Amino acid sequence: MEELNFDPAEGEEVRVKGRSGVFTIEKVLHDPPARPLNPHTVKYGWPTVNLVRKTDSFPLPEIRWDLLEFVDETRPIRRFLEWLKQDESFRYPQGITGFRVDSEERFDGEPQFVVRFLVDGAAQPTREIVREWNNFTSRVREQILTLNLDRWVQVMVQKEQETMHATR
Amino acid sequence: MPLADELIKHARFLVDLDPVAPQEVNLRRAVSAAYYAAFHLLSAAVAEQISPSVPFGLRGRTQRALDHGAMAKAADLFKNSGRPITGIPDDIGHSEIVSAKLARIAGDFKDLQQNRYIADYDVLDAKNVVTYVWAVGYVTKAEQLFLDWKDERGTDNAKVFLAALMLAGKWGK
Repeated sequence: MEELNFDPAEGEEVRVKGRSGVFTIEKVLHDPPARPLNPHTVKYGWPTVNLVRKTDSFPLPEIRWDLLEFVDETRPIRRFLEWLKQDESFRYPQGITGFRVDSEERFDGEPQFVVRFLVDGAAQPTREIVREWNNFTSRVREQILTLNLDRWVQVMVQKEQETMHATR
Repeated sequence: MPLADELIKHARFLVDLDPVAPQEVNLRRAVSAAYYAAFHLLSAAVAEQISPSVPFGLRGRTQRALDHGAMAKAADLFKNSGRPITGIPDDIGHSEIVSAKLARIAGDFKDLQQNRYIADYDVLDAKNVVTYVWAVGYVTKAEQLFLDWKDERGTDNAKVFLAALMLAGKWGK
């Protein structure tokens, strides 16, 4: 099982301290460049990324990873869940096809992350399957909480692209 | 039969009424009943721990004094399985780690509360949450909470948990 990492990835959107606008990561450079274009941004010899501003394609080469602020605040959870898939003991229970992560507010105004494991809903789940799903979501929540995020994480099961099945 | 037991049975009754073509109102009331079942289970345990049985109305009054929001905040302190209770004052003299079951009770209580709010107030349901899968999931979680509590309630951690549900907000004094 590969080690969990939160390294930048190509295509991710970021903000950079001291620069306006949102940038897309064009290239991830794991090794500090031998002949830096921008000595200031590589002064600690840290890995860098090449960025392009979304609005006008303005390039920002060789920006240190620690200067990046990721636009998607659900990123740590998504990365973690992708990593967790490799763990046999967290294999998706029957019916679960994938997940979605959203940043939402609780009814009391507190921010929370909501992880929705999606199920295809051809059949009504048996009690045993529902128990399996609940056990899985509880275990996943327990694992996510070890990341020490700054907000609560609700983990639930939801039908995929479900329109209202209940009738009023 | 204690109110909590009646409510959890009622929640199951409602969610099982029409699983193939469920009526939204039954799903919403099922989740609401599931939360209140968990609430009454824990609040009755708080009252039993804090108040004597005589005079007869004292425990009822204690239960009424509990605040839903404060209980959810207190549950947060117990969310991390395998670690000590978060932010518990040293002078309480308790340093046991939180069991997986107690962490699950705390987390599920908080989530049931959030979904009770959706069930009772989120009429628009823009995210299409109100479905059979949602309702049966949270009713089953509440049933599991009852089972977990049976195993956990005699522990020292459970005593601190019950005290926290009522008093954690004032522990900083």
